[in-house]
Amino acid sequence: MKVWAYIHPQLNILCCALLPEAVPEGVQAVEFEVSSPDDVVLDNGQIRLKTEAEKLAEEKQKKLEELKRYVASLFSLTDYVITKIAEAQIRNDTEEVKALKQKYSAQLQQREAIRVWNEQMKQAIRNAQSLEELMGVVIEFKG
Amino acid sequence: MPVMKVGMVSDGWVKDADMLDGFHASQTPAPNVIVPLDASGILDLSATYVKSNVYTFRRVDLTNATSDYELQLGEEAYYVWNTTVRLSLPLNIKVAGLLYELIILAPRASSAMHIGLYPNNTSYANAFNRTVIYPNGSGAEVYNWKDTPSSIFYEQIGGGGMLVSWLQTMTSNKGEMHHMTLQYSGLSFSYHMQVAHRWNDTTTIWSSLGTLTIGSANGTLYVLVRRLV
Repeated sequence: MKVWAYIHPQLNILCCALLPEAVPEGVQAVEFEVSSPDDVVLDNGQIRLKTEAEKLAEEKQKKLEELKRYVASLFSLTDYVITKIAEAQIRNDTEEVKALKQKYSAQLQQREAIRVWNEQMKQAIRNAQSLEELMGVVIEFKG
Repeated sequence: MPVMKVGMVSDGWVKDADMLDGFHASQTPAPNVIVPLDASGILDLSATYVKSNVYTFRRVDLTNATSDYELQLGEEAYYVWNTTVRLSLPLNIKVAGLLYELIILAPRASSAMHIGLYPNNTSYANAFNRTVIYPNGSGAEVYNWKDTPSSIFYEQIGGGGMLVSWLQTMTSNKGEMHHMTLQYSGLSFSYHMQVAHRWNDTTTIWSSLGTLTIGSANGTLYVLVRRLV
C-alpha cells in the first residue's frame, strides 16, 4: 500500500496518511510504498523506512512473545498437577509425591515435551533469516 | 389528519380505495408505499409479515464508496471485504456522532493476520494506549499486557473469529473497546480477548472513521458499522 508520511504540525509526531487527502493542508508529506504504516519510522528527525533487518528483529520479538503466551496457555492446562506435587513436597509426604508422579505421568511427560518443543521453536524463530522464513514458523504444538 | 381518498368512476367501481394521502398500502415495502401495522398494532418487520429483506432499507453498502458518507442514527453501513483483492478497506464514514459500533467477521485461516483501524485514515505514532486481557486455555489465569500502537489494533482477528468494537469519537475523549474471539487453526482452543484503546491526544478531531488494513489476505471478511449516538 501507499502511505504519505509527515510530522504532525501540532502533535509533533510521525503520522502516515493512508489516503492522500488525509494529509493536512499545507503539510509536506513523503510518499512510500509499504506493507504496513508501521514500516515507517522517524529516526533523528528523518522519516525513513525500516530496514529489512529492523523489521525482521521486530517481528522476531513479536513472535517470541506470541510463543511465550501460547506456551503459558499450554502449561496452564496441567498446572494443577504441579500444584498437587508441590503441596505434597511441602508436607514432606514422599509417598504422596511418588504416587502423584505415577498418577500424572502422562501429564508430566507432556509438559516435558512442551518444554523441548518450546526451545526448538525459540531457536527456529531466532534463526530465521527473512520475514518469509519467519512467517513459515507456525506456533502449533502437536504433541 | 390523513384522509382516505375514495372516488367513484363511471362504471361504478371504487378507484384507489387502498390509498391514504395518495400512497398505496402493502406488506411489500417499496418507494412511496405504506406498510400497515399488524393485528396487534405493531409495525412488524419480521420476514414472515413484511415480504422483504427487512434490513435492506436500513443498510447502506459502502463496499465501493469513494467519499465519506454521513451515517445516520439507526443506519448501518455494510461492507464485503475481499482481502485477496485489497488489503485495506476505507470505511468512508464521516464522523458526525459520538459512538459507533464496528463488527468484523473473519473466516478461519491457518495463522494470525493482524487488522488495524486507522482513524482519520492516518497512523499516529505511539498515540494509543492499549490494554489487553484474555483468559488462558484452562481459564485459570488471565493474562494482560499494555503497549502503545499507532492505530486501533485488532490483533489476530484476521486469522479467524469475530469482533465487536465500540468507537467513542468525542474529541476530548476518544477511544475504543472491543471483545473478540480468535479461532485460527494455530490455536488449540479459541481465545476470548477484551481490549481497550485510549487515544491520548485530546485535540485532534476524529473526522473520518478510518481505514481497516490486514497484514495479508484472509478470504472475504464482512464488516458492519452502526452509528449509536
